[in-house]
Amino acid sequence: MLGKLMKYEWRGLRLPLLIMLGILGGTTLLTCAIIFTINPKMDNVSAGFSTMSLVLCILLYYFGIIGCSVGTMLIIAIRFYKTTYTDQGYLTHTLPVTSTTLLAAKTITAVLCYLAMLAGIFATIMIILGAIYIHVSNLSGYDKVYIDRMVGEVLSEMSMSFREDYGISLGGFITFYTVFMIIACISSIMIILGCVSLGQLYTKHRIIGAIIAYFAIVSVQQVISYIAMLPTYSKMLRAEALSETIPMFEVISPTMIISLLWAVVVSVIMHIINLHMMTKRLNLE
Amino acid sequence: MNEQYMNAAPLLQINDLCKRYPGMGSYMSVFHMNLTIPRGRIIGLLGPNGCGKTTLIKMINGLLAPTSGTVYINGMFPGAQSKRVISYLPERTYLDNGMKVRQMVDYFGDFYEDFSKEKAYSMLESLGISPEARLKTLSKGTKEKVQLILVMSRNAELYILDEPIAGVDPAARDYILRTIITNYNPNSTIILSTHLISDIENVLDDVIFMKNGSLMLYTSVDAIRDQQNKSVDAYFREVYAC
Repeated sequence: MLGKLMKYEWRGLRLPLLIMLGILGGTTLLTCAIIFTINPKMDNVSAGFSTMSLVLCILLYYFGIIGCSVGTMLIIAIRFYKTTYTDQGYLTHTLPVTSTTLLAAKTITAVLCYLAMLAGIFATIMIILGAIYIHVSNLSGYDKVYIDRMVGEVLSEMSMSFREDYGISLGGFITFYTVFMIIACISSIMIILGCVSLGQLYTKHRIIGAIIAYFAIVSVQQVISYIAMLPTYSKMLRAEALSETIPMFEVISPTMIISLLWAVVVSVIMHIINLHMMTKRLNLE
Repeated sequence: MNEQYMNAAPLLQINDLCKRYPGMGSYMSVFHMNLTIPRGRIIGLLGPNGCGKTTLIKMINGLLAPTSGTVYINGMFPGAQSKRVISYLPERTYLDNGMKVRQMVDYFGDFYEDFSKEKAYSMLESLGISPEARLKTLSKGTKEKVQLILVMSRNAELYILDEPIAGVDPAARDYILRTIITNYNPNSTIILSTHLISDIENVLDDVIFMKNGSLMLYTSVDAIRDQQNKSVDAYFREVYAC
């Protein structure tokens, strides 16, 4: 049943997500096209137009990224609200599945959609960087193979010095940061869904209730993140006082681990709230 | 209560059921209700607005948690297993407007083992509703018919229909009642909640009268006609006279 529920969740979410990804893809292609028009041999007027177009495109792309990220969260929240707590909830909650399966399907699909959107954003960044790289290497007049070899050597050196500067290998850091991002993403989804559920406690103003719950939880999260920063500040101050050099990862890792633990704890709390609201406190309009 | 009800194995058993909504003080929407419903009956759940009919139906369907008391469907608490045997038509339109009729048929087919796609398509055809029509393009009445078709295309043990004929024209009412009767499985029970008693009383076996959240009367339609010498509609008007 979990697979079937996820299939229908995906069907409900895919269209707006694909539209957003399409718009982001369009702005990416536009940005790449403008990048390829930039040429140092241009006269001042053309160069000015080209640079202005590029700035506008990058701004458009930037807002596209923000829009996609926030838009995905909104779409997930709206779908969860509609299918769980409005008239559609009568169908959702009378399906022959447990509330745990129902919530798991909604959460897993939402997390996968959000991760897919983040992967899409990452891919567009790589495309733009690739376009810059190709264009600059074409303009430089050097042999392509030579440039590739030079860039390879620079990246290899950076990777070697990464461990000395940061106290962790580049691969290790990327793995750690990827896990961190995935858990942060799951936590964000759980908070959004949990807030929609908490909003149901305000029976007359359910949406306002959800928004209030969200801001309350985000405020608590801000306080926790300040507390999580304390070990980092204390290590930095101690290193400065003793004139020591501490690798960057050693400084930031306690903060990241506390943030990770908080993300896990808040996800579990939100899951329990969601289940409680969907079983014991369910009161459809 | 008629003796036949006592002897039959209950499909639905309600024991001392109470429901108090938060913020309603001590007021109970359903108050110490006891009810035993056997198989093979068409039962009208009747009562004035706010008497607790929908609250009771929601608790049977697991859409509301009781404040106290228990509900058993086929000996099970409301949950995933009981939802397999209940086919529920709420008073709201619960269809996803973004979907096509065919997609809703597939949806029901995917989740309910007892759902017959053939029966659903046959009923849709008889009403001239295109399976390719998107639900948002259909009128409210047509959506209600689609919803009823989906619910009645299941071979469930207990059908709970909350106000199935409210808000539709008399011709549609006839169709809906015909659909209910035609698709009724003699081993299953239908609980039908409505205000429009005169329209449905000819199809009912039994009636449940509710008042202020309590069970006021549970008897057969024949008993009302024989003992009171009145139609159910006339008796209802007398009992609930303001």
